[in-house]
Amino acid sequence: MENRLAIFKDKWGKLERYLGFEIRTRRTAIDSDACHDESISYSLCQRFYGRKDELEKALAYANNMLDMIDGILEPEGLPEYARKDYENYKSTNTILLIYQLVGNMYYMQGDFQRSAEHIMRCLSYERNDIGLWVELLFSLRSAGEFVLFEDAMFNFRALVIQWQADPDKILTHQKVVELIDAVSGND
Amino acid sequence: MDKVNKLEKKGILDSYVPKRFGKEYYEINGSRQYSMFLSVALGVKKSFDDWVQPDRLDEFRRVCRDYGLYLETDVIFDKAQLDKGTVIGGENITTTFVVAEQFMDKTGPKSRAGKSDRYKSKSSQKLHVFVSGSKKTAIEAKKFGWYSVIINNRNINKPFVDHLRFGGCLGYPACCIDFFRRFNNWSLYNHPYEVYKNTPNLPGMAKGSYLCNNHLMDNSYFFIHHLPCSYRCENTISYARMVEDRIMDVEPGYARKTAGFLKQPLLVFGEKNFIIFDGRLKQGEIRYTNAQYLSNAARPEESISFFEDVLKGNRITFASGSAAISGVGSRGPAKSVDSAGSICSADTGHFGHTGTGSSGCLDIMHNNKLVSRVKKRKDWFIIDFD
Repeated sequence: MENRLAIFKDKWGKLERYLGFEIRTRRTAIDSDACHDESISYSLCQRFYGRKDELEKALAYANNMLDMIDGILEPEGLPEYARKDYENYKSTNTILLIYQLVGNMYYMQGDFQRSAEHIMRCLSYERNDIGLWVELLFSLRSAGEFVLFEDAMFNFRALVIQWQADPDKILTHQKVVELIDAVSGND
Repeated sequence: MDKVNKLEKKGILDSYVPKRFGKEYYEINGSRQYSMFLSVALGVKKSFDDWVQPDRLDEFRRVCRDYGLYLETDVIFDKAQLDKGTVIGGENITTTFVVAEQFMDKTGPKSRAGKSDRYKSKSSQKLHVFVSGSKKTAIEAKKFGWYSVIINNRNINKPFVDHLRFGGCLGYPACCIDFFRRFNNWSLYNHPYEVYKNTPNLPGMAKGSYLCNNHLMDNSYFFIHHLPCSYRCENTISYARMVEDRIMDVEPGYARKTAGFLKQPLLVFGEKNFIIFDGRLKQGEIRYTNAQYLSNAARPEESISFFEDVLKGNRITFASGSAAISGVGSRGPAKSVDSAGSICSADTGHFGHTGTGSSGCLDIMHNNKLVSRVKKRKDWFIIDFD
């Protein structure tokens, strides 16, 4: 595990150099007066618009990083030393950021289903960031799920709070539909 | 102010009443977006988006169908009765300052039991729609055509790449979409000024081609609805020429009138923020008898305050040599004091070709008498079109 994380850190640096920007975002709570942070999607657009091959290369690299850390978001069963690293990584958002980055890369690529899947994975662990919800909802809209998008957007606050209080661990598409139906009165 | 209001009402740009083609569209929606309807109905443009009174949707849908067009509905736009400063993300509002509401319609995609089957709209409300000759394109446009709107006091933007995708759905040239990507960042750039800087100076010609004049969009008379990458963009010119030619076949009066308005000189402050003059630009000076100010309602803080002076004058120029400021008394030709009392350095260049891009002053004259001297921002420019 330690070795894997060290390699991960190294790859992170290489990826940032290839991207040309720092992979970071500001998490925004629903009660915040700040607007959500769009810097990842904006920076990706500036870097890769019209550069399909380079985007594919970056995406393959980032996916390889995700393969390395597959399961790292689940601390159960990890040895003690790995749990410590896990906590560090979780607290600095590092692993979530890679998932979010990959989700945004898929969005750039036009694969909105995969984009949604990665953003939902982030939302499973980071439930306070409305920026992730906005990214997820636009993935749904771009995939043609207009009704779901609007029902969510017009009940946004209730939706975010509903998920924060939900006992389920993992956000899935089915769960998103259930949450949206619950807050928009469609159930 | 009375004079301003009277003249603003008179203005330069009137509305256009179609003689034949698209009359049914005009009767519902007026002429503000008439050109877009024509372009799509004539098969030159892939799609356009529009706003229609929700309770006239059925009529609008029928008109679209009669012209072979498909329609997709989006959300309701309503004028924001809010202080923009209190809106979360209000600083990111650029050209649209509206509150959005969900639209429920029995013929739309949201046909659900228990929801109202007909929308009772207020006069201030408009339903955003996407129109295309292809159902698939209309749906694609809807996917990426979300506007920055306010919902529950929060301004919700779409991912930036969707602006570019939406541009593709609307048929904008790829070079202009990429230019938009680079420069449509309101906190860093004045996009029209970047377009201006990217436009070559052609000896003996106006700065821009009227076919690349996007400024009148949403004001009845225009052939393009995108910000071009240059006021001489070849892709835009060939596209706009097709639009003009096709419109000439069906509504020649409109095509001629539009071309005429698009050749009028402009003093541009920013996107959707400019003055149109009825005169001509010659040797860096516009001589005019009438002018109309079109400002960006979503960013009133950027509106200029000296339009009343423009209406009092009949010439406008950069502060320059002695000829431009004769009759100004003690204000010398090299340095002058503007109305705010600050010192303006003279700029001896011409607006149209060499003088723009500098700071300095703007002189508003009536005949040879100075009406007002305004400190000019570096990114303001005057442009003419041929």
